[in-house]
Amino acid sequence: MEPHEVDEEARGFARRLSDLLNATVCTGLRLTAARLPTGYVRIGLGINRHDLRARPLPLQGRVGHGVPLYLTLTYTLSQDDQGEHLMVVSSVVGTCLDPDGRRELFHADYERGKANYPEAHLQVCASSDDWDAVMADRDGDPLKKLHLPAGGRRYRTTVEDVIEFLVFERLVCPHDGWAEALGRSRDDFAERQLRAAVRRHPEIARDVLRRLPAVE
Amino acid sequence: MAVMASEVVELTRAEARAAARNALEASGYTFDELAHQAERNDFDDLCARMTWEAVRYVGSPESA
Repeated sequence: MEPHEVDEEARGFARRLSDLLNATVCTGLRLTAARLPTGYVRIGLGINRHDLRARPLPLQGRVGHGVPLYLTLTYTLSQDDQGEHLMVVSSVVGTCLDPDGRRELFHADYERGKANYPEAHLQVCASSDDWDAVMADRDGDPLKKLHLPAGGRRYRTTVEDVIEFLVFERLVCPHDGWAEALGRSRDDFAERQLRAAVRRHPEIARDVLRRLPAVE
Repeated sequence: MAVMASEVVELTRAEARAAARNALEASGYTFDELAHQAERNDFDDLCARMTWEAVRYVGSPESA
């Protein structure tokens, strides 16, 4: 991909995410992207020429008068094996109670090709007597140290899933029309994943198409 | 509320290092501390995880 093609895809990625967030649980946010000399592209809130950290996003419309809630969101992209599109090589989507991310509730983590634990996983900051009893046999670590598997590469937990969770569990009050916006974004993600899967396994795609009735 | 279009900035090697250094300073972690946490698959908190994501693809700002 030429640099301008990378920028165009990165801009589209950031715009789609911004549109989704502003149509569901945020207001007036604009995610930005930085293309690194190593070829990677960082995407998140507040990323600029001077700072590569993605800031947690304040969530609008908390139910009742509860504590403020933030959505942590960051993606790193690079070119796929064919050099035709950008793909996500790592991402973090979660929630916390402060703008620095030190008071975490949970996060969904994705690190493509990570060894020794699921490349798509959930970590939850919580505890219970039962978990403590189990973890006592494993150095006494808290539950949040465990990497709970979360769908694998193609079907990993997405930002749409986290937004839906926050709404369904009445942790935020979404904007009107949020479900439709979420559905459109989820369909778009599913299509992109399907296209990537077809590119990676064309022989399977051909076989499936061969077995389908001909489409006029 | 109208939202401006998302932008993409291209960073030079020097700018990327400086930006990574700023991210580390804001978090209070060093690159080596975060690299060690990443190696053990065990970040202190979400701040550490997010900061690692910010700097890992740049490398240590102090390296040659």
